[in-house]
Amino acid sequence: MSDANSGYERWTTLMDRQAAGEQLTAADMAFCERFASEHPRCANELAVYAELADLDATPNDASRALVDAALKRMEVEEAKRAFAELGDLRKRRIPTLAIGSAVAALAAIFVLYSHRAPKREDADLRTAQNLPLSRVELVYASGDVSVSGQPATVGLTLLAQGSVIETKDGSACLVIDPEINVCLAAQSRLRLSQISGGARRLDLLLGRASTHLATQPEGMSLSIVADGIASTAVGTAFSVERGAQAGAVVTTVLNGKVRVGRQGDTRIVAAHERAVMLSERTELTSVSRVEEAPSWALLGPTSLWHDPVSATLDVHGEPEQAQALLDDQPIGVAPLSSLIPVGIHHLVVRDGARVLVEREFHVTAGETVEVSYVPAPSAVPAALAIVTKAEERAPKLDARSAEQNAKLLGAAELVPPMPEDPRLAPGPQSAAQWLTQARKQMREGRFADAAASYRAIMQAFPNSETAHTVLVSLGQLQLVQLKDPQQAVASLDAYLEHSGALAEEARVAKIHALAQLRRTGDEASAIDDFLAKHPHSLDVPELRARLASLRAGK
Amino acid sequence: MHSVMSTQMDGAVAADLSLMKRVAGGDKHAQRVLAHRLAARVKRISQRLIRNGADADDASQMALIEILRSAGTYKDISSIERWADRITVRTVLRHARDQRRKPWHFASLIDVDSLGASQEEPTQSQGTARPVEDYLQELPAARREVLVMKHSLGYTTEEIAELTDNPVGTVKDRLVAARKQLRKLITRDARARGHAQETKS
Repeated sequence: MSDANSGYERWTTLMDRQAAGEQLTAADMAFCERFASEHPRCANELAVYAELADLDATPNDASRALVDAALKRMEVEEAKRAFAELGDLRKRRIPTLAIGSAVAALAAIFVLYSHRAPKREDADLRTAQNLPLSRVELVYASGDVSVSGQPATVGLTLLAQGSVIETKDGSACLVIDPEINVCLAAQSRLRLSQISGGARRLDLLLGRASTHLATQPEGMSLSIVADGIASTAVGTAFSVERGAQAGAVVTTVLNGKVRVGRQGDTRIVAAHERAVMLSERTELTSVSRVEEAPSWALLGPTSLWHDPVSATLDVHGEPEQAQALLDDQPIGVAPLSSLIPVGIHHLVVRDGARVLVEREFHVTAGETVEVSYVPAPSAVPAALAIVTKAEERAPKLDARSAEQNAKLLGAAELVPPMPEDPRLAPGPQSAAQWLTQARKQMREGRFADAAASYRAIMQAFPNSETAHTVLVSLGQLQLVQLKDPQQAVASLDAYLEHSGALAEEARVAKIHALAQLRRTGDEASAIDDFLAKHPHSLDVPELRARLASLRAGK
Repeated sequence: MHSVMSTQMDGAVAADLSLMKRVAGGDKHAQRVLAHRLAARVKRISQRLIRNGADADDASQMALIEILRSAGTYKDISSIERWADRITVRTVLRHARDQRRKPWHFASLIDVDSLGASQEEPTQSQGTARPVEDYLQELPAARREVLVMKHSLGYTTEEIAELTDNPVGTVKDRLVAARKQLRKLITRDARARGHAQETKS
């Protein structure tokens, strides 16, 4: 073994011992320092630990979305808690005043949920009197889905007691408060027989339904009834299917325990067991993971509407039955409509191995994003063939901005020449891939390359939201890393011409760029503009102070 | 000079205390200010502790809510960030444990083969340096957690033992194992990089 190797071994041992809390001797410390300074192998490792120690992160679009979602979730949870307290108060027959304040909290729930249910009428008031309130929503529909004979609309309609949900060739999911997910397989029919009160009952009239529910509050349960056989759970996941044989009902328990049977003749079925109830006997067998998989798969999309702050995604086009993936997770086959969490998403629709649409989009609370697609001719990248409602609502990059983008692209002198059409060049083929590459280049300190990647997005996908958003990243990069405030102002102005979610960041960066250019008059105007447009920004005190000093200097 | 700095420090501490009192009192604007101040940091800690992106986002939300609800317990013996780090770690670890107890994950249901060869994964070309998060993804959860708590958050092995509810000896073993595994990954990448450069030249 060479000296370098034995030295390295000693170095790693000492460093590990120190990390585990051991105090090293002065001689050992001196050795570690000297050895690390002489061996790049140690420097590599120390660089990773230095990066690991860095927790400082600047606020960005994702952290803003996190704040919005967390605050909204907190409001909803607080309203729910107040609602639960109301139930307790009613049980204890507390004086009217206390009930009055809890009713106010109940009103808050209606206000919070009003964006999902804009037309709540007298029925809601009646429900409020018949506690506990149960909200039932259709949150996912793939293929042909109807509610009581009418075409279903995801995310807008609250389902009433007695409604019948029917699927043809696709599937559908609904959510019953609190946290009960029920998904229907193709060729199924389900009636919402009892959705208020403690004992909720759904009747499976045809096909198969799977459910996954959180532990229910005391006194509340859910039963799925088929052919008079009830499968009842308190907190579990299970699937009920009407068997091929007449009168047979198959209950597969995925998690927890379920009571199955007719009134007065029930039995407990545990996780990973299947009960086949026939008229004269019950057969109980174990089920394998493979056998359970279709039921879990049916419940797969439930992760999409976990977040209380939701938007709606509509995907449709030709050919039907194309597989949709949201954020790399399969969410079903098109046409489909589903609630999804707000924020930035990456959607891919594919027909076998062929990508029909690939799109990164940002969606806000209550918004509907519609993605339609057509079979892409082989010579044209499919990504060009889509139209989204989000894009229609988003700042359109018209001919003027395309021209402005072209100007920005033409003005770039620091970047290596780009191929004429980046989509035809080897390397990233989508805006998301270019973005990933740009971020990697930033991390590696290859700033000119990162700027080139941002420009590639603008060139290849000029009408996309991403092309608009990266103007801010590009402007900040030009300002801070490339030390080119002139170009930074141009990029940021291009972004601000159509505004967007990053307007605040863009204006702050522009103010700094103008300061670097010593354009004090423009800087003061930009600060005035910022203060008028973002009066609650965290940067306000600092910018006010800067404005005062600029004015004092005049 | 010293007195000027000390006055500035006192002012910052007083401002932090005032902010936390307002948050604890239910002041919505103060809650938003605090949430914005901490969100990016909370998200980074969650992403380092939890492998699954969606779970990390969920844990970040829960941690932020927990921080806002715990504002009344803040004392000026440490910075708001350090105080919030501890709440974040506790919340995220609890969330991670809950997720592990769940019998299934959506991701596990995907039939990857049926998606064809072009299943998209942001890949890093071999032979280039990788962000630390990529390395963490390759470590088992228990090792990743102690490594992050030690080297990102600066906790002692005793503190990690308390936070993870494990004996100190176990924490030390996991930490050393995590460092060894990380070292192997770094060495492998460095070799690949060297090989790539040799091939190029």
